[in-house]
Amino acid sequence: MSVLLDVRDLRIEFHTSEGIGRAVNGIDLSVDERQIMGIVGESGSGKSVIASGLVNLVNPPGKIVSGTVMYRGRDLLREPDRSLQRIRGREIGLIVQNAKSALNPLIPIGRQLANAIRAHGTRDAQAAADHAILMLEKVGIPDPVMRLHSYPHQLSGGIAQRVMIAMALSSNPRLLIADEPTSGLDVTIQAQILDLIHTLVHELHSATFLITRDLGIIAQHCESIAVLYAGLIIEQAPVRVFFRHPTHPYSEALIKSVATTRERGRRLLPGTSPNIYDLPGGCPLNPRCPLVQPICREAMPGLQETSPGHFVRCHVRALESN
Amino acid sequence: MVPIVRVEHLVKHFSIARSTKALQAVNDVSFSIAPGETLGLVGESGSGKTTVGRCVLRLIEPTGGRILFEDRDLTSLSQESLRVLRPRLQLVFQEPFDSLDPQMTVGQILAEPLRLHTRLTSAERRDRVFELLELVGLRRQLTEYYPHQMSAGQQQRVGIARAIATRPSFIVLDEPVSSLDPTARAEIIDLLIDLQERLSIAYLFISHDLTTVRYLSTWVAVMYLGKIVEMSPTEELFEQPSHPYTRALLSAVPVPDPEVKRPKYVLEGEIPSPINLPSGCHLHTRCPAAIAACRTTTPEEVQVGEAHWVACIRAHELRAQQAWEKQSFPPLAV
Repeated sequence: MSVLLDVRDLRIEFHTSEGIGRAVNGIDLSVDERQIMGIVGESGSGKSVIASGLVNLVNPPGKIVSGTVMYRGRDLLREPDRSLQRIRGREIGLIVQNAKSALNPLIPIGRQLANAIRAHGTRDAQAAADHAILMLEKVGIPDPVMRLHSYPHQLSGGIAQRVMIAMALSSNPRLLIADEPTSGLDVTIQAQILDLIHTLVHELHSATFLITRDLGIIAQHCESIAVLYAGLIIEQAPVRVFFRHPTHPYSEALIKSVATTRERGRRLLPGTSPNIYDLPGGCPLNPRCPLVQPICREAMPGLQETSPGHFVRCHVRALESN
Repeated sequence: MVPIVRVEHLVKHFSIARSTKALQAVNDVSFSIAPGETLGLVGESGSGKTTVGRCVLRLIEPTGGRILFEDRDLTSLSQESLRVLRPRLQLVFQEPFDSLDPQMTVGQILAEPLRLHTRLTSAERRDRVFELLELVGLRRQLTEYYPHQMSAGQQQRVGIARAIATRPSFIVLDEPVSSLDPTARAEIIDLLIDLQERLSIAYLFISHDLTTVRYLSTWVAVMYLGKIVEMSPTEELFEQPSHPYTRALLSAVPVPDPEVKRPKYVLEGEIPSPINLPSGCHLHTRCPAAIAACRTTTPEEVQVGEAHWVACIRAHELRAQQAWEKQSFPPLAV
């Protein structure tokens, strides 16, 4: 298997009147062909900013301040706009949350889809229109020919989401970045869409970053997982290893929070995620962590390999595993 | 136990402008809830679950049926006599921020129901506000805060504190944790359980999230297109889902454990419009187990276990088949 995308030391900041918001604080990530990599994090963990950072689409006041994103020998953060635009959409597809607001409300979806297809290679209008119908069929939209003329407001959330996915997949991208692709959808529709992404990834030999806050989706659809907290990866592992041995105290709390059977006095984390404009010194979890030691307030722990392929950013756990 | 809330044959239709048709949101729904227990009402968008919650509190007028609260029929009460009962019937909303007045401090928000519904002096009200904050696990200093200065989890704690301020015996929880992150969600669920045990409040917990429903509920009722299709004690429902719709819902929930693979049980397409309901069993257009009779027969409720009802003409047959499947292909679990 070969690495398709390799991210090193990605840092993204927001420079505003409130000061400097450190949203992403040195992320290393990579994904192989035909792999689905799950990225889990709660609000404010930086997960959506990372999605836009991967394709160099961070909007001001956000700014990528360092890092490399290597894609097939090229650094997307240093690529000229023209060639970036060719790569985005054609080779890298992006699925965002809230498909309805991402679609243009004034243009029928068939034309939006055909425009995207033409922008990414197909010159002939008729061929683009035919391809649009084929894609709508592929994502399981009933009566695709009729749907071509619908405007986004006439679609249900599930159908609009599928149109977005059809658009992202229309150019057979090598890499798919899906940011909460099913949030706000009912579970039966969610299952259909995730199965679709799964099949298409394996059919097209592409790779996917699946960003979500739902551990169930990660467990069922991904090969490996990276857990984000305050713009840092705090644990990374193959999915089976992670769910059997969650090691970081934050990961343990996350897994406990989705338990189905009642546990008396289960230990969750007190408090809330830190403010990115005012991150605590040392380990960002230290104000909430049940294992906290003096060193956690002083030094940022490094990401340590505790077993092959299993990385954890925690002073206490790193000591225990040695 | 004598139920505190009994809903009998509840119907709610909304009329549609310039049309003779009606949107049939709720069609003949009945259930009861005992003091200190939780009924989880689950279903997807358009199932009518939120409408049921609003009708039960008479925030909207039911089209038909009765709602008995401690044996008094709420549907026949005047607004004035309903107002006297209001403190005992409360509601917690889905979006904590939207449900709190942005111009009021937490202290003012919590004192308001006390001002409206009790005769407490202002000093007593202040003490009660502190007591409420403690009950929901918030610091006293928060009385001076405005909603936007708090996290979503803290806002929802305030929403819950406001609901319990007047010592209700019944609370409708309408998706109270759906907009929260997983860790905050778990904390709020634990808080709701804790309050229920201490104050013995009955909950109607409306949610599309089966994991939290399982964690919180004593009983579960599953709704599809305005009808309850299955109702049973919680664990029984999750262990032996007997309506094809319940099975499909459960199989669609991604289990947070990569070692467990649920058997696939997929419904075709999307939920039909409640304006043009399908004939017979409303699920027949999507149901993998549908037979010809499902198109014409309206299914009666069948009892399949102790206190376990299913509205499906093939219920017994499918349960037998499922039991066989379970024996032959046990679910993969470690």
